[in-house]
Amino acid sequence: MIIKECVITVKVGLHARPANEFSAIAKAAPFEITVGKPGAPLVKANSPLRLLTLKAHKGDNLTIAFATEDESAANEFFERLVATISE
Amino acid sequence: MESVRTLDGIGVGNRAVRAEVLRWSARKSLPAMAKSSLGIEVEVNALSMAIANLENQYAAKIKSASNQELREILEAQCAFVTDPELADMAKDFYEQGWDAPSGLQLAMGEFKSLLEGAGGEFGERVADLDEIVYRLIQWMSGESDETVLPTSGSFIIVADDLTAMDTIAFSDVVVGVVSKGGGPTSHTAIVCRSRGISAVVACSGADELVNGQMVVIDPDASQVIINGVLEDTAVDWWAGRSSLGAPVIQVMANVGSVADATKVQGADGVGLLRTELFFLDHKIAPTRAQQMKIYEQVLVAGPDGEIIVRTLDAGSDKPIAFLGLGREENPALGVRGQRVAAIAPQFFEDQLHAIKAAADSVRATGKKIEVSVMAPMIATVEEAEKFSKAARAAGFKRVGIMIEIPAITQVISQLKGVVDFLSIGTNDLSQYLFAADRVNSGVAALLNPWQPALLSLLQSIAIDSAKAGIKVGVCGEAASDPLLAVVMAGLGINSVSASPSSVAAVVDLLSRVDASEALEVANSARRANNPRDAKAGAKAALIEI
Repeated sequence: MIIKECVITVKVGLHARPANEFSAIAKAAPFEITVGKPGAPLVKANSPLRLLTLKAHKGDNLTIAFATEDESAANEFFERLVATISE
Repeated sequence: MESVRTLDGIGVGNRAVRAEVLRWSARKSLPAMAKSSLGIEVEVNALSMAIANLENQYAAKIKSASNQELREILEAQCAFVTDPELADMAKDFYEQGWDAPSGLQLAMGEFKSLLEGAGGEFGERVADLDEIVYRLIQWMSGESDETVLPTSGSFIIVADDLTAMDTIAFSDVVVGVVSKGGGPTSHTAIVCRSRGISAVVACSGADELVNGQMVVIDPDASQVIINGVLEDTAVDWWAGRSSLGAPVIQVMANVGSVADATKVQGADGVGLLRTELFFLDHKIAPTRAQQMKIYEQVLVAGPDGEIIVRTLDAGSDKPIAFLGLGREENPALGVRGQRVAAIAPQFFEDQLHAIKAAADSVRATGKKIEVSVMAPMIATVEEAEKFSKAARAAGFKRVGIMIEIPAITQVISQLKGVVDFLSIGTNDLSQYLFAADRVNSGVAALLNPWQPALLSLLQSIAIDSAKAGIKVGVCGEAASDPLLAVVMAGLGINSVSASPSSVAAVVDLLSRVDASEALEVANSARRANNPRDAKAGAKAALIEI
């Protein structure tokens, strides 16, 4: 398990288009990706409904967990995920 | 040039608007929750077929979407439809024996409850989730599609009648409403008034209106004008009177949602905080903690001052799923308002405590509010005593009741020492006083708040309350009419509570009269034998003074 943190900078927050793209990328990963606000339970990142229930706004921190030990693969997906929630 | 024709009805609001007609076909209610006798696999399969079908419908719409924004909205909704978490969650309910539509509703309910209390764009997504459930169930039951509001432009919605659920779905593209049914105090009228949407209700000629037609709604004249032209709206006729500073009686606001609360400006507190709309969507009773969160939000968003929260007024045309109210032949005369407390005592106790806890927590942040509670549909002193006792046990210092049932107006002196204030709900009081159903447009004229009998009753309530030393306000829709508010001040009413969009006009006119002038205006209205003359008399008196 590799855990990383980032900040949402896209104006609408994690729903609508950003959440759609975010979940699509998570779906494409060969390992499970979970996400949540720091300290709160993580939810499946491939589910737009679960992402919506995080109620994550612009400026909120996110913890993203990658169920793999492959650092470079996790990094690649992390960067792609962060791009969807960056302005 | 196309011919200009007019259709008569009852106007709501005071601003004329012109826009295109969009006919609204009412949504059918979702089927009742039911268990399946067909087995899990059949139900799982029914849902997955519905999902596949809806996904195809979305794909077709996305392809033909005219702009990027619309396309993204559709794509986001489609992603919810195809989310495997939804089907998985529903499967849990199918394993408990629910049928396909019920399991779907329960599953989506889980996601919706997680969004509870979310404001702004996250809160708005709940409507997307409802839309998806509705469309999936439509497909399962083999029924056809219905109206979808466009996302841009301006429209006048034309319908036979609208439910509270329909009007909640209205977005900013709705600038006007014409309904064939309904009266001045129907829920359509109330929601339109609170959102500043002009409307003509009880318009029997509404069937003539067709999609795309340009019409003017003139609420002052209570007319729909086909092919009409919008004239410059004149400045308020009372603008020539000089302001005396503060309004002659206290002006508060009516609030039914967080959105309403944020719109309140210039009001001295909230005279009616309705709690029904917070619960319409709930399939199961919200917990104290969940309720407290909702109340906190609305208290934070609303104005300072006295805030009067009305306990749940469910029943008749405002059904609440979790209360399990049965079907009634005559719901307006049945178990509704405070009468429901006998069936669901725990809910009402929870509600009182949740309101108190929310009030305490918001006050602790330094916001200057005084929260009191009142009960709807009180008919007897005994009922008032029971409610007062429960509210004081929950920690409330000021407790009131609504005056809506004629019976209670006959025993006001006996309410001394029982309650601290009274709040007259003119809508229901008219309904029961005139034996005229609020949702039957055939008797709408009797519900005109300028009816002499209603004005006379308001006066006697004011006199009896003053004798008993109890403050009395009016929180019905009638208080949103500035001229009628002046009449009420003259009749001896101590405060009025208007819809947020009407507060400014009510404060403005009430600031331009003193108590003796208000009395004179009220006397002129009282001399009339019909509502038209009452209004005309009041206006003439005010212009003359």
